[in-house]
Amino acid sequence: MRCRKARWYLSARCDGTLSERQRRGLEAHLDSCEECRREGFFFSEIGSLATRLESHGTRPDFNLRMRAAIRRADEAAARPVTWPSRLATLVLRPALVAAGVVVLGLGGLGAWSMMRGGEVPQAGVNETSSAVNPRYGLSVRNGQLATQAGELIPVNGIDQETRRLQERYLEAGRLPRDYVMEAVRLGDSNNANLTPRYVLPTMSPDQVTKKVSY
Amino acid sequence: MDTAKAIDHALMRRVQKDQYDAFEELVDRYKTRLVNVIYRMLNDQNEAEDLVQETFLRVWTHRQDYDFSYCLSTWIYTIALNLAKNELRKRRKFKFFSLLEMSEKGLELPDPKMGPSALGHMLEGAIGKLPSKYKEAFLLRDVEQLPYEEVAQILGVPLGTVKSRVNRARAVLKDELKPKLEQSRAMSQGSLVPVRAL
Repeated sequence: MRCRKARWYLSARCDGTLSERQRRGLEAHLDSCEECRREGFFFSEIGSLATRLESHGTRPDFNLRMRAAIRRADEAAARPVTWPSRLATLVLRPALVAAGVVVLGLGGLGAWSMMRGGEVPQAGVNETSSAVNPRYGLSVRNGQLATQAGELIPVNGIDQETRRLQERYLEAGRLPRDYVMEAVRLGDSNNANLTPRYVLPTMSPDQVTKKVSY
Repeated sequence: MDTAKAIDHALMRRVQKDQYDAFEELVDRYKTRLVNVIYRMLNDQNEAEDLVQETFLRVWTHRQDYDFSYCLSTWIYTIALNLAKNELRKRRKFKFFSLLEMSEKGLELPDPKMGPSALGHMLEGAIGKLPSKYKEAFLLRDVEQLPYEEVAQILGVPLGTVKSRVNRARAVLKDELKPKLEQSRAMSQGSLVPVRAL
């Protein structure tokens, strides 16, 4: 038997779970190996010490306190359920939980939006005829921006106003929905078939133009 | 069925008939054992007593739910250890620590004598440093002397996992206490060879 196997058996020997064959093999190894014999002594000492550890016990009034706690619990269980408390259980508590879930959900959505760099929700831009910008009367039809009269919106470079909008976004820490719209409105009429999708918060005005122009 | 289990079941049958004296007998049978295990998990005597009280309170409240196909000790230890684990989780979350405990630790000095109590004291310290999954397995198996099967039921892990955790705990404790154990062994053998100073 090798030392490695013997060391594994030493722990099992403490529990008395070795088979007769294993025990004989281990004893034979221990007779010839001083190192494993020492390890065996350590294991049995640990086992012996563990059974003789100091007992911490309880304070003398433990049973009295126990009895008092039991009495309180029994009294609470015997108390009839009143209507206000039943109402609280049936209505208020679920309502509070639901409100909590909504708040957490909104918070999570906000955090997610922030983590994604203030991405403009794609649905807001691409949904058919639903994303109307009241400020400029813009709408999106089949992925293309258009005026209310149906004219397609051109795109060009970024001017002072767009820069100001970007600064406003950076200050607010989020991307306003109409940011893309603004960028688009300020462009020229060379690119009629644009499909604005998103603007990343770290983009420079040039990059915004490029992105929007695709 | 062994005697202890038979006594537990007889007591529990009386407890289910709302006989409080039987419940108190049950409390007396288990309270010290539970406090010892939980104290070694949390290292706080007051907290350990509170959790043991909470354990018995749950036993009393849910006495009609007890399933007689299991050992009562398994049920009680499971409740107690779950409470202790919840407490440890809370402590990790809020990083509670006891100033008293810190000052006591600060004053702790190694015992110059090599008696068995000094070794026991060192073993207590070494157990305290074990990761909790090894600690609970070691405490239930080697300190409380519960059978492996029962430890596996209490911890809700396979038998092999318990054996492996106990073995690992023993190995760690052995390494931790090795220098002291060397001295102890040299003394028990009456060796004249000077042992390495610690």
